[in-house]
Amino acid sequence: MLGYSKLKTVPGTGRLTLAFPFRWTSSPDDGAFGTSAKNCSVSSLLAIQQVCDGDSGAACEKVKFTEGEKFGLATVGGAISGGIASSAGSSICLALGVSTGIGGVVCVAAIVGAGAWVGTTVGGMGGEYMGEKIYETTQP
Amino acid sequence: MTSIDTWSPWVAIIVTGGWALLAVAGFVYSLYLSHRHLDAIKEALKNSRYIYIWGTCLGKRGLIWSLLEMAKITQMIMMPKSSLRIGELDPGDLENFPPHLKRLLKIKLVLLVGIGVWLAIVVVLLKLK
Repeated sequence: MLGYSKLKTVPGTGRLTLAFPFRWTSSPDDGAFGTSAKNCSVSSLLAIQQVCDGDSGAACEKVKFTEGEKFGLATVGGAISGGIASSAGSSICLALGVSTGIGGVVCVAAIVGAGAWVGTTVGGMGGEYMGEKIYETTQP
Repeated sequence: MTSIDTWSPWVAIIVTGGWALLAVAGFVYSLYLSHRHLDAIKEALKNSRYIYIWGTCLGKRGLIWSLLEMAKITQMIMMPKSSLRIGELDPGDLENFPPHLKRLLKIKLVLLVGIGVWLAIVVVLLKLK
């Protein structure tokens, strides 16, 4: 939903280009794992690149769906769960007995961070499954 | 309960991914509140510690902060018990909070709770399959 539509493998070269959400172009001579350091945090996109660089067309098509959706929904899930955690933070920290001063700020920050992590994980799970289902339904 | 794998693919797609549309609606709604109603909210909560400490920064720190700030203000008004106890919300401000702003924050709360519940359902369905 959020990324794979702009992914293109350049025929004959094994190059993968991506226009959204990053202006990213890489080729096999970019270094270890076929990427440069600036892309290291984008694991879903690296997975796409690795499969599409070396594997068959069908596997490449499938991984674009699963990893593209995983990336998109993990991002949305992380952001919204951070918001949910921000709402719940003060109640949880009050229950834990750390609601004032620096302890209170650190507690709320930790709750928001944990919430964003949970959201990213759950969003990624949902996105991967959804991508797989979309791939299956688009097959003749 | 039958596994999600046996469901119609389109139902499975909507169930596992539909919450993201709700989440995007939540972002847009937070931005709307932040741009259109934040000044009125700040004015209504001017005696509360949270607002007189953070008030000048609210709405000026970008997209993600706007989302977190609106979620926090929603909690302060809609679930005020903990905020009253730690003293970040003034009881007088809560009592006199304008009903039309409260209605807007109620929509935000419904969105947040709805997305949270939907995500929990996604986890259960995918873990049980």
